[in-house]
Amino acid sequence: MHDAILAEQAGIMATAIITDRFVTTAQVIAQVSGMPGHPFAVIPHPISNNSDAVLQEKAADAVQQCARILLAR
Amino acid sequence: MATRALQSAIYELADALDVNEHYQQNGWTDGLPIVPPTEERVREFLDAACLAPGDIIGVESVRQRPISAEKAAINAVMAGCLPTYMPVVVSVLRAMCVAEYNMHGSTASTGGSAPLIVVNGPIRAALGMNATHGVLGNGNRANATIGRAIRLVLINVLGCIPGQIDRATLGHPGKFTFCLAEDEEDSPWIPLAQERGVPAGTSGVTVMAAEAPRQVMNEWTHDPEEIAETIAAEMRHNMLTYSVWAGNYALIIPKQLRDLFVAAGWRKHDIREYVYRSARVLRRDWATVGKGTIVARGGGPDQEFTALRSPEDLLVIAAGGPAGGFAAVVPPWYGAKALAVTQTIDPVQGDQ
Amino acid sequence: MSVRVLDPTVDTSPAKAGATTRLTSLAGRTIGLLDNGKINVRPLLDHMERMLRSQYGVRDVVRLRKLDFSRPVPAPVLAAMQGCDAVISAVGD
Repeated sequence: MHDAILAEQAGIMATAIITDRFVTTAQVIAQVSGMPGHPFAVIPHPISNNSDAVLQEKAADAVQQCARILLAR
Repeated sequence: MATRALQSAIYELADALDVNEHYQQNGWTDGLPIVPPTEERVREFLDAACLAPGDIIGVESVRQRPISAEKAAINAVMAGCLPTYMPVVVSVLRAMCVAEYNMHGSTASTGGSAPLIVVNGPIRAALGMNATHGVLGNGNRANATIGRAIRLVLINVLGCIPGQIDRATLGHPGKFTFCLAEDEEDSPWIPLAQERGVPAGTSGVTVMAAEAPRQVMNEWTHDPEEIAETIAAEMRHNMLTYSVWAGNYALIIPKQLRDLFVAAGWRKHDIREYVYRSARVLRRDWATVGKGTIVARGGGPDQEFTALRSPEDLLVIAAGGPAGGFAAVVPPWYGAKALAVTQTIDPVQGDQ
Repeated sequence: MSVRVLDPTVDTSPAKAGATTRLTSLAGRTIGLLDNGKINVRPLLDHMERMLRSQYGVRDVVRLRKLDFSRPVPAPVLAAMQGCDAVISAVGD
């Protein structure tokens, strides 16, 4: 999350993919970085032991969420 | 490196009058008309302060709200500033983001304070600021619009809207604008910013969460102690009728009284020392102003309260017109819960 | 004759992106994918790259990588993002 904030502060639109266990942490990071409520995509924790099929499903979910965040309404 | 692209949403409207109506209806003004913030004007302001749109001037720390250079510039244009005022606006905002200024507390409180802004140094003349006639009133573009730009930032960037985050019960007219320059040229005293750490000859700004000014008058003496006593009396009254808590008071002394102090050999330091000793009340004094129920509480009737924690709490400012034995006492919002902050105004190309 | 003016307010609604304006479409865009080096992030981003290209018409995907996930993204990587329309940083856990 911090890297996405740094990119935003450098003028580059950015978001992050966070696992659901770290949502609160990501929100706090956004808050203390001066960007409260900065949006991010959430996928189920963990990913380290996922099969490729599961990773593909999570990737599809993440892409959809990121697209919604990055695109204008 | 921050991007140079402007990021704010853009509205296309028929003309300047339409822009004003649109912004008024959206609640984006202080109730007075605003200058349309076009991209071109906003860029001029950013250039005048050597800032990129995405630069963060500061963050209001309680609600974690960042103030970007772009948004500050937009609101400064709306206020009616000239581009050359932008460095002052930026410095004021930086000062207000310092934790001890307590921007959130002081701007949201029912106590209804406004940021008192005092400008020192060469930038005063560069911007044509007023330090004399009617210095706490209307009439000067720089004085008026610099203070106004700050209020518009509070409204639009920090959401400090009456009835919403701004819970001020009464507020006071300083919430429109409350900005003056010190009369350094007609005073042998050390300028306020310099006393507070800004190098001599460098421009600086001091900001304080302040209540409305209380005007005093003494034309019956040349004795500096008697004049200082009138000032201390007004501070005592504020302690009794508004708030007793010690903190920064601002004292604005126009020429007539100032010349009497100077003739008697008094510097700002001497005024501070006298007022520090004299601006005190006892708990029993509250009975004289309809607050008798407090007398038996706390440390008892003889408990003493002081307006200033130390002489340095009194900010003495030389300003005002040449005639009339007046001075202005500006009390703090809430004791030392918010303190005055002084900020150097960064010199930019072409300045001084 | 019309006047174009800028919004003076800051929108703090959580549904919208942060300090930057959003894109109207991902088609033809350059998207950066920042890999923080943790396990399985690379294959996850491989899938995302494929989907961004095939489903959203993204033209270029810039793959960026942090060597130390415990530290903030270093300046050269941040600089490499400058050509991107948007960056997705993965995975915070």
